[in-house]
Amino acid sequence: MTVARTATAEQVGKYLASLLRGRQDVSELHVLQSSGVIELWLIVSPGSIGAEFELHSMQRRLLQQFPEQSIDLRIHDVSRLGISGVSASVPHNAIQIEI
Amino acid sequence: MEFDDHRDAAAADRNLTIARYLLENRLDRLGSPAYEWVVIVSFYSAVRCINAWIQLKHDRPPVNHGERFRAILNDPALQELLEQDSLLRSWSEQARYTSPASAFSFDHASMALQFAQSIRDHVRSTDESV
Repeated sequence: MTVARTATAEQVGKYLASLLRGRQDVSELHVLQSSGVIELWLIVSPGSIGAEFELHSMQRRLLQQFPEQSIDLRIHDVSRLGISGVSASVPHNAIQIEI
Repeated sequence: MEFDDHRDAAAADRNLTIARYLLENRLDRLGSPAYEWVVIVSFYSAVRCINAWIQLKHDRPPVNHGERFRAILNDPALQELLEQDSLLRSWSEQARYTSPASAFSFDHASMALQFAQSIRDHVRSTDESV
């Protein structure tokens, strides 16, 4: 099913959360409506490069579900976030979506 | 204009060469191999390559990553490249802004270069077949 033409960042985030529910390798999801683009940050801890690559299929799922939107999903491995952690990689005004 | 004549195609090839040199650790004055830069340069090779294709076929390049992802999905010639491009983008961003250099191994660097090269080969072969 394809949803309404103009989805909000929160709607896109909740759709992604529904796809990820129950996964042990996903910890946080944040969304932000920017100028013309819905941005999402997914914080993950995949067990392998292959598992990380597979998570990037979510980019395709979102674009297919919301065909009228520009969507930009970033997937960040928590082990690579450095000492400043999630706060360094996600804008302070992004909204966290429960998974 | 042919794909190979586009300035972004030339930039993509130059970036691939730089990434290959970095992977082979030709910067011998560094204390450790610059695998994080292999990831970064590989990503920019992929971006310039895909942008060149999109501009030639659709008259204007994407202005941000969201537009590029959309253009990749909507173009039958590019859509199989979406996950590779998405992974390269995320790795590159982490390498530039948040990760220690040690976060990227030889395996990461090899895969990034392989993806960038396969994107280049795919776009070139597609251009030759149309």
